[in-house]
Amino acid sequence: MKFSYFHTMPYDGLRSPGSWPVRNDNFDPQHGKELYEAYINCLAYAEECGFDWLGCNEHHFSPYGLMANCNLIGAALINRTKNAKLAMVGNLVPMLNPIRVAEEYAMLDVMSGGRLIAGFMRGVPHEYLAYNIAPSESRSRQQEAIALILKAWTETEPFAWEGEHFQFRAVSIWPKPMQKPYPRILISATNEDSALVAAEHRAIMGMAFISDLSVPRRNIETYRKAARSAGWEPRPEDVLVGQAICIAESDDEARAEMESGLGYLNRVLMGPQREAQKIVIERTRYFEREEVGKGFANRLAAQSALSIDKLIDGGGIFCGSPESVVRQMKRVHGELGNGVFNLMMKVGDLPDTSVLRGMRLFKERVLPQVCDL
Amino acid sequence: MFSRASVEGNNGTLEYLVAGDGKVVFYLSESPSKDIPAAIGRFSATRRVVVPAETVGAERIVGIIDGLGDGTCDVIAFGAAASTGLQLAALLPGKVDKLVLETPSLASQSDALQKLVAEPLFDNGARMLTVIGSQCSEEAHKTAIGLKSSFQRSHLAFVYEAGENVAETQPLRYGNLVSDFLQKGGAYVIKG
Repeated sequence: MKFSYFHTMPYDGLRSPGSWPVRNDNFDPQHGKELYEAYINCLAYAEECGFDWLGCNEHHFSPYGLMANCNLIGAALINRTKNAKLAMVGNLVPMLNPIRVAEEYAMLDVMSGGRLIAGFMRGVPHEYLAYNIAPSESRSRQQEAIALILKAWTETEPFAWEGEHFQFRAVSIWPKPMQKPYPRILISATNEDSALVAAEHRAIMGMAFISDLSVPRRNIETYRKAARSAGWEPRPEDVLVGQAICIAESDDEARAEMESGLGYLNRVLMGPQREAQKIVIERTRYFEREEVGKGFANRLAAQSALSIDKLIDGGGIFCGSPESVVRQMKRVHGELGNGVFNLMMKVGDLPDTSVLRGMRLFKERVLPQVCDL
Repeated sequence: MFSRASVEGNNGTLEYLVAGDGKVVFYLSESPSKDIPAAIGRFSATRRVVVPAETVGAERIVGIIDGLGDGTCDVIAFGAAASTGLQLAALLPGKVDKLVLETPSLASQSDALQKLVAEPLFDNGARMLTVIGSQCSEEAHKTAIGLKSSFQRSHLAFVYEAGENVAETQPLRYGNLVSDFLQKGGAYVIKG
């Protein structure tokens, strides 16, 4: 079992959720600087705590996450760490210049000595409003961007690209990635349509916001079937499952902290974007099938309404003493057969002292019990 | 849209189809009797499109070129006709301005052409673009890369979601790309 230390770099100290896009007059640059320092320190410390991957992601126009470009954080981690994979999970490729993504990812891979895991994310629906890209084009843009990035990484001759969404007259990127033929790629697969895309590209499938284990189980089955049809057999490490996690000395302490952190996450950080997502899902063809859109919205709504016990039961969070967390991890692994847990320890505004304590407990009392899963 | 014309040469009469007005662009395909792709026909809005009515070697096409005047011309060659396009550019240095090879196949190339292609960075004077669909076979891809590396002023273009016949499978993307190249090939191949 591999463990990824995942961070969204949330902004803390806000009182009301506001609406999306969240006005930024409350952003304090000095506090922002302190947060970046603390968060990068946590990510670097995660390697010492036994985490195999360090995960970052991209979000826009919201205190939910301060990584408009997670590659910058990846670059900051290169010289702070030695062996951990740098998992950019990831760049929102439909909304970005794919050539720029190919170049920045190649830089990260070369600079880190081949430690990049390249996430080709589609992005959650409301991100499309930020960059003025039609949500209905998200899937076709993602597919074309991936094809173009892979071509830019592997083609030995300069080339032109004439596509539906992207046109380039002469592409020849410097540097090229260190890993050959290219870094391991990861694609979000929180629904069956996305699972098919991940399988088609032989990518690691990633899932988060789980409220009921039957959903990821179905997605994994779809992914495995599609992979076999495409002529390859996924390994456990090709399946990544993301959870929020809080580990304390006792179950009660962990639950109290998780409740507080989730409260801030759901009410303040995710409230505005949940509304924006709802509008995009209702008014655009972001999800090609209506039931997939409904499933996405229901999952987010369910997550914010569930009790700690229900969230643990549903596999969306791990919470409790080290012994409880070990039990919970074993159960989810037993159900899903995944080979990677992507763990978000900074839940909402959970204090960093609690996060660091959780990391230490993970290293000393959780990891030794689950590393051989 | 196309009308028939002919030219007399050493090897007899050669018929060709012609449409439009402006700089001449030849379209050479494996089987000229087949329908001319719509994407090629559309070039006649701004150019004089010339299509030999039968499969002929480069030497006989020279006769048509001579009969059409002194200016330079462009050539678009599809599939196995790529050999003819390359030979034409070699026979008439300075006359063929831009050469587009669509999904080139050189399986039946002549010894002379084999020698030409084997020579690293040969310069036939033309600016050359090899167009290949992103869904083409590995073999077609290898041929395209080989041509790209063999010719000095050449470039390679991938048309997304296009199969072996790019002009038919992605006519709009193909039309945009080729027409752009014919207008400003220097932006693709900088070396003068």
